[in-house]
Amino acid sequence: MTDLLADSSFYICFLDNIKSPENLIKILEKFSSSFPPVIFSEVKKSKRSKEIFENKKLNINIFEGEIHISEVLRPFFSIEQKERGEHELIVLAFICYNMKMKFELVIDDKQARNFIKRNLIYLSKNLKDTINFLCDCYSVYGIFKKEEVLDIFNLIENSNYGVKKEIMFEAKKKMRCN
Amino acid sequence: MYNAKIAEDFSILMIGSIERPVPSDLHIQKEMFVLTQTIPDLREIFNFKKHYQGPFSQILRDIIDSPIYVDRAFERRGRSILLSKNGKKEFNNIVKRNIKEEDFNILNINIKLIRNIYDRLNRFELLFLVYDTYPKYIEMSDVYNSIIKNKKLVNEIIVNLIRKGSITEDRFMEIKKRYNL
Repeated sequence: MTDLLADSSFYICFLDNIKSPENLIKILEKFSSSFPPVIFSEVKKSKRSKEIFENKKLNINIFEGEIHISEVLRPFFSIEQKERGEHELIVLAFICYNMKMKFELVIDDKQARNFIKRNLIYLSKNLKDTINFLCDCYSVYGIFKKEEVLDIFNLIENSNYGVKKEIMFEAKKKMRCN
Repeated sequence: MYNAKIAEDFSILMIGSIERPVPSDLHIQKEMFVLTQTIPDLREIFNFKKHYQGPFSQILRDIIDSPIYVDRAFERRGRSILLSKNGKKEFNNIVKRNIKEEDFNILNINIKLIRNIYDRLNRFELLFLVYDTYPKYIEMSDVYNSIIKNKKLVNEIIVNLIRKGSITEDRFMEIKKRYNL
């Protein structure tokens, strides 16, 4: 099973911004989802988070252990960024990569994405933002039909989930061509 | 004695985890310090203390200079430190002994990540980031005081770091604000 390493904004998009936990569940049924500690606690703040964390059909792993992964990249990110947890996700992705596991790394934050591209370029192959990952949910993973993804895009555009117009435009174009 | 063996094994793992030598004594000290923050059980073993160049472990220094369990495990090439033939043999033994333990594999991968990221920093960048992230170790550090007094140097350090992509833009702005740059 492919591991899904997604930042909190991905989960909160479905749980809070577009209030569509059922679509999130459809996605998570296809993956083993790993949550480093900060991201887990961020997502847990959502009232709808129980729909995923208490769903026994889903393969959810909370990364707990004696290794404090948040320390590894601590000097390189700001305090606010560390409160969101992308730096922990990057460590998990590095672990998956070195253990030769299949994984998807979903990060929307531009600075975290740039950090990966500048320092751990080999992780870029697995790196996507939420919108492009949704395209793959149709074209690669067969989780959604094309119309369903386009519907989700419309919900996102009409919500307060911030996505750049260019990204959405390109993604819709990609979906229409597929 | 048991702790000394663990310290030596971790030193071998840290230095041997990637093909490239550790750039300097400063790098091995700070990289091992970061590892002890990642694995709290190691803090007592390496016993990092406040020092004029930030967190310093005498135990680590002694192991690099005179390892107890593996004769001449380490070599120096200029400032850099690498495993000797004996050290490489022991590295392989350690890995082989623990290969089935998932925790060990994850630990080893974390060591690789530390080496990959921190080896790229020069001495000033490394010192500055460690001081700024772990301010408890600023005390007793003459080097910190000499860096911080020199705003031009601090500015150069962080501009290099952002140019290399080693820190994020938000981190860059955070540091600029903190030091009134």
